[in-house]
Amino acid sequence: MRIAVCVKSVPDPDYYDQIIIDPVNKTLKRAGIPAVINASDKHAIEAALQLKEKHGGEITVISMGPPAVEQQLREALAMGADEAFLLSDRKVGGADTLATSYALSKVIEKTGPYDLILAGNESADGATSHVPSQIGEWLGMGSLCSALSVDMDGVNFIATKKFENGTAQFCLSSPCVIAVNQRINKVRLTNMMAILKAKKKPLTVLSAADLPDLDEQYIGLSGSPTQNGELHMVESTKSCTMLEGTEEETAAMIYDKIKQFIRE
Amino acid sequence: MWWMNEERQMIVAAAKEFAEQEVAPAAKLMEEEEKYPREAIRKLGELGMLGLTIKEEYGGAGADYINYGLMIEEVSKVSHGFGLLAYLASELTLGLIEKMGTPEQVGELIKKGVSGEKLYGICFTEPCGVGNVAEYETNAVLDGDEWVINGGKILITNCGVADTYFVVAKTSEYDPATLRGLTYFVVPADTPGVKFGHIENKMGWHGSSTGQIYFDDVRIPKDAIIGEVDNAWLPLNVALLPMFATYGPMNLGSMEAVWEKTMFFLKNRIQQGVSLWDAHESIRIDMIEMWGKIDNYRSAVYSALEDENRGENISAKSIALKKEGADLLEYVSSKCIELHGGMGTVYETGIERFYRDAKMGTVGCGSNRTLMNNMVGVVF
Repeated sequence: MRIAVCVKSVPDPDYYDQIIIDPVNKTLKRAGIPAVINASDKHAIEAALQLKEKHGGEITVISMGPPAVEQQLREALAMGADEAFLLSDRKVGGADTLATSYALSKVIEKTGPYDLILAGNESADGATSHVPSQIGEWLGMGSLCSALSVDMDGVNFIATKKFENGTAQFCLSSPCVIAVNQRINKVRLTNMMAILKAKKKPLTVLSAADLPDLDEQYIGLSGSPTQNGELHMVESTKSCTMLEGTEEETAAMIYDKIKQFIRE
Repeated sequence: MWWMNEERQMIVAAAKEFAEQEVAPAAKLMEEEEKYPREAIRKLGELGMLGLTIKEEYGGAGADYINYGLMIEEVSKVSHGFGLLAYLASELTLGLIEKMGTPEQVGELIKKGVSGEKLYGICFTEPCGVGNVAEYETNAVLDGDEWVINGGKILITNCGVADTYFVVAKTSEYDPATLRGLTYFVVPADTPGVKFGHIENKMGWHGSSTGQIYFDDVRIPKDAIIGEVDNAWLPLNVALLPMFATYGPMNLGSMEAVWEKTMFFLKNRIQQGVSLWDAHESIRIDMIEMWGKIDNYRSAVYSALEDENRGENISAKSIALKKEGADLLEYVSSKCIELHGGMGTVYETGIERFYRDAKMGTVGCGSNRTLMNNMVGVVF
């Protein structure tokens, strides 16, 4: 079984208080902020490792970003992935989720075929949850988001997902794209010896030119239909209202308040 | 920092994650219930952290001392006492066997120690004083093919929890001129005659299981010695003293943690609409002064570990790092308690235990004065 895991390099959450949004470009100023593997992508790597341990196979991690992202891919290799590919090219810079998913799907096509493509459900910085399902669309594969379990029955992938009224099980024919929820597993701690061995594992940096059928109208800024809106500060105020009455009456008041907030 | 690279950043990240997930809950039980963190030490082994510097052929990672120091620094940010136990379970015991053990001892002891399966302890101090070896009473007499050990040790860390102890005992009259007369023995904890006494209720390093061990006609094979008969100073000088440098990253991690916690507190403690940090110049001066001392200590620590990588004799530097680091940690944690006000003295604030542990560092594993006196011998 060949599994690809898409990972994103994001600013370290420990430094969120130091991140500034550029008021002109409306992008995050990341200079001086250390980067880490996006938290939910780590759960996707862990899911891939568990599938590999159970069914055998190989794990390839794929990312897009500046050359420094090699560091996060090395970390993924230390976690247990076998091979890594980084698409790093100014042409793909400034991409929104659509352009990112297109570029990643081209890397998947070039380095595949894969039986399964895994990803974290959302990134800690963008948090759109767009990319996994968009990769599925570009590649013509079935996709599922927010999976709470993933397994294989020999032919198909079986995944579960929680809804308001219960849990649903999905059977996805291979190949497919599954985005995992952070509650899917507990990410194992990294072994020191695996870190030292990670530098010997293959990590290939690709440019746009390495992806021959890449249509440049779909990549980078020009391939990104998303436009940033105006920035404004959210006012944060605190107030306290004391509710009086019986348990039933106050419960009804709280219910009405919540409904009111949801409407607003 | 000149010593950092991609691989070392990953080691720091992995050790930090381990410290947050495993050391933090273990440290709470160490402080509140005096519980020895056996499971967390085992996991350190499973993750390859105990054998970082041990050769790959012995089951280690074959990494260098800076990588090892970075791991110790990270776990010591959460608990100075845990940092000590990680050091004891790795360099202090495994390093001793790797450098001075026979091939049989290496085969039998190291792999199980590296994996965290087996735990070792060192028995040195006696009631007469750690440096007063002339009056040590624990002795070993050769009886046929066996040594017979009698006597007792105090303030032994890993007391009652280790599987094997490396015990220093008199094998002939101690000669202060040649330093001969003491021998290192390998004594399994389940050997008949090994008895465990009182576990001390110390001011710091809680949960380290530090107590008394007695040897009552303990019989061990003739070849169960480390190094040569009558020459315990050789393993001490070759393996133990240089790796006193481990106190460097231990102290460093703890002082960094205390300083960071205090900086966070000062910037978020608002009085009359202004943070303590913004309101008081004297506080800013205190903090930057500590920052400078910590930064200089950090450079000294990793410079010494790089010297060890290059095979230089760092015994004197190691003792200096232990002494200077313990003093600096005591100063930083004391100052940071003051900057927190009354809440700094409260256990839950998480500052005061570093102050108590710092004091342990000034006397544990050889007091500052004893070690500085030894240093005179090494330097001059």
